[in-house]
Amino acid sequence: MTHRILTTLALAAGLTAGIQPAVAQFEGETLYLFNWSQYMDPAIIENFEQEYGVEVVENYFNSNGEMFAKLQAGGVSQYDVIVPSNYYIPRLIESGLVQPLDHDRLTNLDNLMDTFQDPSFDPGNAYSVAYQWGTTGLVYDRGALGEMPASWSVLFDPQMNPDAPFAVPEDSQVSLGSACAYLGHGYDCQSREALQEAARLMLETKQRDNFVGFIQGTPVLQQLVRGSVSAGITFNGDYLFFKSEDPEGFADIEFVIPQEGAEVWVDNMMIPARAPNPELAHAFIDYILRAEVGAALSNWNYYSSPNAAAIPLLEDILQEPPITPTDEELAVLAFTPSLEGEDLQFLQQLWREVESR
Amino acid sequence: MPKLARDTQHLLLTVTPGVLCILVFLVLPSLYLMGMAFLTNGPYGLPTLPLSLQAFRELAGFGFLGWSPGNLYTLLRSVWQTLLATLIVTLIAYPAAYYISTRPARWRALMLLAVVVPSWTNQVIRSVGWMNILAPGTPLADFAARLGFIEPQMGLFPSQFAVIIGLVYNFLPFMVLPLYAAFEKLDMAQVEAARDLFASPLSAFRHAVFPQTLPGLMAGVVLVAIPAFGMYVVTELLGGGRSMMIGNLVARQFAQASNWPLGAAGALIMIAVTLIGLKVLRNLGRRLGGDREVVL
Repeated sequence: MTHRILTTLALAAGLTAGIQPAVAQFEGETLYLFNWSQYMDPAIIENFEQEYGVEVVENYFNSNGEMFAKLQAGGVSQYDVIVPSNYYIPRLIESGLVQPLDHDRLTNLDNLMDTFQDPSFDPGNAYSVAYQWGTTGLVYDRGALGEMPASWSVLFDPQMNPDAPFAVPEDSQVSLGSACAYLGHGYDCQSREALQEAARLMLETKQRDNFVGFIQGTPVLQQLVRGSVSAGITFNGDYLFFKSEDPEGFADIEFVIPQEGAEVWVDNMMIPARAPNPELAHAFIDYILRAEVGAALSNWNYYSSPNAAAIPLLEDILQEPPITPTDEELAVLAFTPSLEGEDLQFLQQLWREVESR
Repeated sequence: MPKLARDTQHLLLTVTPGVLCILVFLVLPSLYLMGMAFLTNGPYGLPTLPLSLQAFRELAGFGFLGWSPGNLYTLLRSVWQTLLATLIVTLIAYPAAYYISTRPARWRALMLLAVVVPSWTNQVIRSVGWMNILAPGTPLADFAARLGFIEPQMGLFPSQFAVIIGLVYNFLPFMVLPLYAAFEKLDMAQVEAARDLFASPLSAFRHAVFPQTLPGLMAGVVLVAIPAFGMYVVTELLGGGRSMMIGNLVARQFAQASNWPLGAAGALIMIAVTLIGLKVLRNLGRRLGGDREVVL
């Protein structure tokens, strides 16, 4: 009898230990985070490591394409948390590269704003939780070009910019979307005719003497400061981040949302299908969802927080443009379409044409 | 231990590492590439069955919009940029190697070291260095602008010019070293004999010097042209989108566009073109070297 009671007690003790969010449960384990560069506050990582007694190993990517390729090449069993953008999420789910989230382990999920609770690209947050959101717009050097309108014509109309060097990103969907918007078909154009017209415009643009190449949103900012590029496409948060680091260098560099339409995006935390430590991955996602952590993240990387509970803790600079778009800007912003099958191949072929000529 | 067994053991011990290396680093990846090239790109950009020629059709330029010469341009551009870079490397390396080989011994070692040391640094870092040298506002770019080659605000990079500079700079040591080895062994008696027989300096060079350095030159051309043809780092950083080479096309399919079968098909074409190039070079070497078997 006594024996039995003791066993029950031991079992109960064991159970409680298991039920507790038990920080100690992860002691000595490692979390592999695969994230965009310049996107995570080092202090958040340190605090997480201390609180949970774990080690976080960070790896970086510069485009969704690169992230997808790495997952495909074995990364699916090497990373615990990845941070893809909205338009890659259906593709990741359908190709079986990610695993569903266990909502019981995500106690802070309700902190998300309503907009992000049931997104179109992942109904019910079955696989993804919003990390940060932002916009992709036009960036130009007022010193080289003069005052310019908020329009893609700065890039695509040779008369607006006859001779100053400019660049577009190698991300095919963003570049073609921007060309589509300039042509009046909207940023999220999907018809083959519109995309073809956009690709033709991109080819003409590429042949111009002052086109200097395909440069992604983050590196293009460094080239703008250096003066080797005078106009390009970048992200609102990166712009503000670099501007706050170097106010003098960025004094004449402007970021605008073109009135023809531009991209709004959400980057999301997901867990690869064969992640080494999915339990710790859930704990990490839940940690980021805490109000004060979400606020610290935005205050560091200057992107908008999807975390409603974090909003009161944000710095003032994040509550105004370009980080919080105006209502007029919001009206023209659109998600990049998620593509699959023939539509995806069609777009990739178009982009290969643009690149190879 | 009987002699036969000892010999067998010795043979196994010496041959196994080489065979394993070739198997693991050459045969297996090539087989994988060949298999990959015949898979179909799935609806979400993952390679899937059935086996098909889809990747080769795409590579040849057939797509939703009919036939396009885009990839052919890329291939021809690669061949052209490789030939140009190899030619320039040869024009610089040949006299340089001769010059070094005629210096006193202690200078020779130092000068060779100076040729080789830059290649100890990563290609990416050296290319970024060139970006800074050729960017707008630098002395070199200003000079080019004053001569009217470029607009003042544009800079010398990114451009095809910058790509050729990058290629030449990266592969120069691979040409200088084998040529230096050839010049060091140069039999001056042959040159003197030619001069004694009233050969002009030019024909003495043609008949007495050049044939002796031909093996070194051939080795240099192989060492420069093959990696230059497959280059993608330099074009990526210095090219600016109008000098894409087949290496970029292949890398893009694996790293960005997620179309692995197409990338694999492109890699197979690269191997085929390289083999054809080697064959042409071998014939050329035989022709130039008389009956002598030159390298390869």
